[in-house]
Amino acid sequence: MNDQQICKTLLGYAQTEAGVNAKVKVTLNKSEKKAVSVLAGNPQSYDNSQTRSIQLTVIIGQQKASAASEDLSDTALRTLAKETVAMAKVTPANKDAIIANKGEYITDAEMRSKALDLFDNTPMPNAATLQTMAKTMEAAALAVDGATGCESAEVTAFSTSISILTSEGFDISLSETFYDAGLGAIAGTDNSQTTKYGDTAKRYVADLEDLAKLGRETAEKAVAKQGAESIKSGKMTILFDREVTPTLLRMFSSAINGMAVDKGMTFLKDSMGKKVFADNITIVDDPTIPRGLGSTPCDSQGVASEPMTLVADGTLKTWILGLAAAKRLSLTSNGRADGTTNMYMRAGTISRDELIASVDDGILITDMIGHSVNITTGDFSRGAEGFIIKNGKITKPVSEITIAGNLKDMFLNMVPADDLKIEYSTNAPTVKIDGMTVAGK
Amino acid sequence: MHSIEKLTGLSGDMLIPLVATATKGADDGELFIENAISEQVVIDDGQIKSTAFSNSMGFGLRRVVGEFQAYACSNDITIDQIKKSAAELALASPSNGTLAEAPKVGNLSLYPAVSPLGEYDLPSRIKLVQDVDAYIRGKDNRVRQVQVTLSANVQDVMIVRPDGHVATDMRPMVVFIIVVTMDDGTRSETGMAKYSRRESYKNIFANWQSIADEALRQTDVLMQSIPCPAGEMHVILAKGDSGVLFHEAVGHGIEADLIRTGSSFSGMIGKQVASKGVTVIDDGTIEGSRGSINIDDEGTPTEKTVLIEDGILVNYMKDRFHGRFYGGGSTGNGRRQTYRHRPIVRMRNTFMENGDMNPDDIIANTKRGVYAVAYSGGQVDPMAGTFVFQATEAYLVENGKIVAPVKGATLIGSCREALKNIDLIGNDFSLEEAGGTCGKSGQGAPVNDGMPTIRLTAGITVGGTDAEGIQ
Repeated sequence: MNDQQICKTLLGYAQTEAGVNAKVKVTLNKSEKKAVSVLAGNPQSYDNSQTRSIQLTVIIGQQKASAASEDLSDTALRTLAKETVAMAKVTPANKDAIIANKGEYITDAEMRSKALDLFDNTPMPNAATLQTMAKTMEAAALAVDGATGCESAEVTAFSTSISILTSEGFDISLSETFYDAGLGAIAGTDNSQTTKYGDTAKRYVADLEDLAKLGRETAEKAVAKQGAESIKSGKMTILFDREVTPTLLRMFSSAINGMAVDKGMTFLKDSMGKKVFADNITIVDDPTIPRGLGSTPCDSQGVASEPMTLVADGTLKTWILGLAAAKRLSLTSNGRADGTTNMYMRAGTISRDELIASVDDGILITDMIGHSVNITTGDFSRGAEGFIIKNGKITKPVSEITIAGNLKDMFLNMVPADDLKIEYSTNAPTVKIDGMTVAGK
Repeated sequence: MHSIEKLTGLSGDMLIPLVATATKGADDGELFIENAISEQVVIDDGQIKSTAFSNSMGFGLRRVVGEFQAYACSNDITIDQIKKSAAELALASPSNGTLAEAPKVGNLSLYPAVSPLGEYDLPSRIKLVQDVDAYIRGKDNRVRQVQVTLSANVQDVMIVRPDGHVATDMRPMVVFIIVVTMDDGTRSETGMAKYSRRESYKNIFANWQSIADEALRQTDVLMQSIPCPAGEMHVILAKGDSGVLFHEAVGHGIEADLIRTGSSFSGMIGKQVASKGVTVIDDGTIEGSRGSINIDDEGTPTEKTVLIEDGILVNYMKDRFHGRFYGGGSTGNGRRQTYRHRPIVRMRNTFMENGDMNPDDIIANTKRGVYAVAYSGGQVDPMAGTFVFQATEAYLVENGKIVAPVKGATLIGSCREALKNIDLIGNDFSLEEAGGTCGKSGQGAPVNDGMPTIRLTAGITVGGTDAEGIQ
């Protein structure tokens, strides 16, 4: 049986069990992964994984249950249908139980996804080719003066296909590829080691950045951190480098998630139509970027994802909505049941160098460690590394510090540089924020 | 008949020759077959958000030659697919190895060999999370949101080696998590409590009120919290949950795979890495604990491994390959998340042993500092030797007394320096109630931590927002 036939079979079993008025959704995921790693020029590993799993959701009235199985045998599918329907029948009604109706989901998925160009048709490279790529990247890193090692140099190739079929007629099959090469470079020895992680991720293997350049630049960044020390605590101006600003933007997208808003669990719950960022900041989410890592024709509910502006000149314009959150807030889904797609903050007007030159006493943050952010309150506190800025110039490296503040104030005080580069699914330029607390010695 | 055999129709005897062929010319390797099932009920925003179950099954075949490891996995547990995977691995790896010795045969039984699934039917589990929701909302009128997750899983594994060694383990787990959000009109805070062990649901059904009370207590404390001070200061870490310090600050750094790639603890065996009186252990043998395993995922029986003895680093954590590389054999730390993953060096239950001081005296002897009690996790850069962990419940201590709760903050320190500044060690050791899930190389592993109350006089920086509040 092909994927569509398997989905159709399970859908049929579930409908037979649940009755004609039930709504049913079947999702089949298949993936193939090849990954290699090298250490000091020697191959360390080769992984080849071929896996699949099927998910079933059944809604009877508003009673909902879900199940997943990696066993696709006919017996397993029959059992899956039977047990999921039995579970739904004893589960209390849920106002969020929803499967898109005709008219809500897209019917031109194939055309839309073709334009997105998310599948690399060239055959997946074999183990030897992937190893050569990893070796090239690592060798370039190790050749840098002052580089002492690489903790990992890995190249991964993914190919996935997803098929979704619902009782309401939504039917889609999407295939995507994904290539990733990354390394952790080390400089220095013993107690004075410094590290830097670098990576490149693309839909097409040929689009990966020059791996020797990636290796070299990553190692140079590790070397530049040599001699890093902590500093005295105090209030300071912080520049978040382009390498770390996507993290701040992801926190913002969690804070405007429609479900969190309706439940009152975000510090931005009362901010619709209000200033949440500095005046000149605009944030866009665009699912239509060809070969984009977050590009998609629709969300997993089948609702079309179209480009939209989240923040225009500092003002919050929309929540992130799937069908359930939209219903709760009496709004319309914007095809974001799975969150943002390709989100980016527009570039500012001054260069990164000018932004640095504008700081008398501050820190350029190039790396953050830890996960501490509280979306309910906006409280932010993170471990950080970077470089001290004195009188407009980068001086020495700094480590073992934390930076803390509240996202509400941080967003309102952001000044973006003009160095935006769209390379991941979340992107932002370097930004400056005044008045954050730095904790050091 | 073992359940995996029943499921696949393949017995150890049938598989041994296949594995022998697949690992011909290798130093090591095995076939790992897994069948895992799980079930879950979640109440959120006053309604049952999800009732779900899932099954996952597949095999992973591994071939180790020198330092090179080739791995293939698939959902099709058939002789044909295993043979195909073997051919793929042979093509990708050298064949000049000599087969290493088989692991010892284990006889541990650290948890009941039964599945919690099916123990309570779905209506009873739904009723439990509804009862918890109603109880919490009834106790405090500031409660705005309650989320309760009740889940269980059982992982059934069979490991078949080329030398005929066949090992099996059936690993149950229950997880209970309560998240509470309070709002008094002026501020809003979220707190939580967790419970997780390798056992049946019984303790959760019997004792859920105390876990709900703990979630309420923590959220209430946060509602009164003041800005946290910023800077290096005396830090007192409470018993139990603070064990995350050892997990992050030394644990990862002495996993042998990270030692080999350049951890800041490389070459430190026999050297002082912590204050005298500090003994740190990684122990897979604690009955029912989240991090315990009868055998690891290479088939090695688990053990209690002393890592730091009276401040001196005495051992690394090792899987079979690193047991050969560094000598001394595996310490039973070769673990994997599922059949989709190659085993790597992982922690189990990592803890510091008791000292002899009354924990109240540790606070009474502290002029000014922060007393941290509960955490939301941590992270480490083992090569740079920098660790962080995030306190979610902490207090300001002044003149020997707890003065006020402070807002959550990140704590940061240097792996090789922080633990040398432990000056007071309490006698109140405990493990965490729940433990956590440790992430490494894209794999999650259930672990647990523990310790007595301790004090650090330096080496840890507290990442609050109040830079003036401290001298």
